[in-house]
Amino acid sequence: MSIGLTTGANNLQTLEKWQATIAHNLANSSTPGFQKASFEVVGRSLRPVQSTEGTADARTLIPTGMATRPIGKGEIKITNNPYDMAIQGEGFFSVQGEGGQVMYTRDGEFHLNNEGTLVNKMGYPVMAGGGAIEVQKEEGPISVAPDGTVSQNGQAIERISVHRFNNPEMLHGSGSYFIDPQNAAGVELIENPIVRQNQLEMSTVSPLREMVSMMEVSRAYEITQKLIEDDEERAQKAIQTFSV
Amino acid sequence: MNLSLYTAATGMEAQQLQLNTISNNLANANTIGFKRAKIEFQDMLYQSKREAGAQTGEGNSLPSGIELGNGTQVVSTARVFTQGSIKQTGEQMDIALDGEGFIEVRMPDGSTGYTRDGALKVGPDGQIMTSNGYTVLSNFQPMADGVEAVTILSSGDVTVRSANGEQTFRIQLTRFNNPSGLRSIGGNIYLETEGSGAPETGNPGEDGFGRVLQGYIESSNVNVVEEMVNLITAQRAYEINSKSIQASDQMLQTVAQLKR
Repeated sequence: MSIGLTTGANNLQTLEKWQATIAHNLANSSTPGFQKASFEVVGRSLRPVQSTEGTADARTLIPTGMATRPIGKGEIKITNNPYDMAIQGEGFFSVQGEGGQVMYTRDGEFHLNNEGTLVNKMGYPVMAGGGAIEVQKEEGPISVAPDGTVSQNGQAIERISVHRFNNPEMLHGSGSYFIDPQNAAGVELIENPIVRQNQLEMSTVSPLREMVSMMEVSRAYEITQKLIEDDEERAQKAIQTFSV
Repeated sequence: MNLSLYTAATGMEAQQLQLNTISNNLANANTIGFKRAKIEFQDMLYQSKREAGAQTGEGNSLPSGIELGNGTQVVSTARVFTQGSIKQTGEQMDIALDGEGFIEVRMPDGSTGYTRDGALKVGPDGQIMTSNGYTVLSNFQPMADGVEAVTILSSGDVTVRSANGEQTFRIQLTRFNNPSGLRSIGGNIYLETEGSGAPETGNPGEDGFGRVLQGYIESSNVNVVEEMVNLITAQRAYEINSKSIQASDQMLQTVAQLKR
């Protein structure tokens, strides 16, 4: 079996994954708090091929892809919506999803639900030091201090929790919301977060960079196809030459 | 392979909805009491190919997995109930609500609707109506014949002076925990839903309810410049997503050429 053919096919597959990553990033260029994925192609070594001489070590590298999600900061947009919040600097809000599952996000596009609880757009309560944040309408509009304290009419109600992770790469998620199913991300509360009310953090996707990557993927794909073609041609020639 | 084609398609679809929302906001830039809608995006669930932390043998584990997203989705189009600018009209039956609250109206089918459009009219029998002819509730009393002057204070106290004497009553306003959850049925009318919470009535200017301003109306809260900027970004995002589709298509074509 030709190693060149396998390597080529693997490369095509890897490039397809890269393209999928780019498409997902671009599709979420308007999603608030979205953390883009960056893609890395790495060579994975095959086991040494056993040859009859026993000494030859025909190692080869199989290209494979890795998507990482570096936690970045998106642009801040002023929305003048009192329930929109952005974290300045590092940190994540937490919301309580279905079945008590805690989800972490930098998407601060919040609302009040029908009971006056501060929730995210999926209806999951935003978590604070003492649980969910209950707003009393008769006390007037809410104001959020930079340290995350939510107050109404000068009275503090709750303080929004902002978390950081020691091992953010252990988080699962596709960009906006993250979960920590193995409790391995090393979550801790940030003592002095900076939360900005009336602002929203946009996606970290840079369309320019994604377009450049896309061109790179397209060209690499074509070149790999040529390599596979060449390989096949050589095999064909060998068959013609040695066939009786 | 086809994953990226569909992913890009979700992006285009979402931007299309964004354009629809912006167009509707712009079309209603001069509608009295109109509240702009904003579209909310979220990414779609991912397919995990290799999970982070998975064991690779001999005590090693993967530092990061491959998580391929499926694109974006529109979660909601929420109405933004910020204050619209207040415009003077000088009409004695025009009222603007400065702050939170809705005026209650009776719909033709007998149900109750809510509006912030305060361009009120007096109907043939003296009852107060909105410009589209729905009877205004909110504790408004029908007016007697021969009205000379109507005075509405910011507290909602109304004094009607007519040939037969004076009539007084106080307007009640209604509010919801989550006004974004109201159902909009057009004509500036909103209906209560499960998501909005139950209506709560109160006196204007008290307990966080807004004040009533006579001789003014509330214009829409659409900011035309902001909408134009959103329009530009939406259009560009649409274009860029179409490029992803083109690129994926080209890759498929390349694959097709593999076998001659």
